[in-house]
Amino acid sequence: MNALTFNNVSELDFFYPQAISISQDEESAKALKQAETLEDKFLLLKKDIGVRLFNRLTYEQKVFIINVSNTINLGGFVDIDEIYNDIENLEYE
Amino acid sequence: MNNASVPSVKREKVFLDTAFLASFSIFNHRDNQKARKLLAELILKYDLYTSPLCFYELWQVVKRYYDFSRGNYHMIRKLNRMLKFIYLKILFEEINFSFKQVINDLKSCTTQIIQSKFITIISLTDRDISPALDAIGRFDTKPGDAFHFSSINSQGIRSVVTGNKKDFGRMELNIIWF
Repeated sequence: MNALTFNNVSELDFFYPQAISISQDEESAKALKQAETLEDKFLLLKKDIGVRLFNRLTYEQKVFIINVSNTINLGGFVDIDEIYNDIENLEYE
Repeated sequence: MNNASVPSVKREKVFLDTAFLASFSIFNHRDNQKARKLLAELILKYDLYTSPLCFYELWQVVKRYYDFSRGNYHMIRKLNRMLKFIYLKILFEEINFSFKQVINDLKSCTTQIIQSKFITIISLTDRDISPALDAIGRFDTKPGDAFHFSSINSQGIRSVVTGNKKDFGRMELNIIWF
């Protein structure tokens, strides 16, 4: 079905993004972004999961967690619930 | 190589759903830190499984994530949703990405998971189709979740890690919330 679309949305300035939800500690996120070496990443993982849990993991397990986590970095914070709702709506359409 | 960590007893199997995969894969995810911690705990206790269907859903999440963070504005999307809700066919134009445009992120998150020996990928087979239909009848669920349920069941998995209560809450599974 044809939908009427508005391309020029400049008059809608007052709608422009309200605060996008920031729920992860920004300082921690910044530190993670700056962690370049494996050693840095190990330190950050230790901080995130706690010393006791960190010490129970093998080297391979630690490397695995570091490798699989944070593989997607878009630079901005987005409310993931909105995305899930959106995808769910798509599935029903 | 340190073999001290190799379990000598059979460990319980746990299925990782898309919401959980997304939580530790996406840097800016609000539950990222929590998901990393849970992943560490799970590795120590369980054998971890996921399915190709989860990757399909994860790729959708990644693309949508792009749409929301680098496409146009939240308010436009909210307005469109409201307009659709009241069946108004007047929609504001949304700037969306193609899957090809986000292929690098799809590859990076997928490759790390499928190459790992710590997460096993379940195969979907023709034997999962009828149980998926049954699951729709039993739980009034969506096709995607029904296929999750049938493939999980066929592997003898009884526990699921999920952050989305809508997906697995009504099914007869042990849920590990995060």
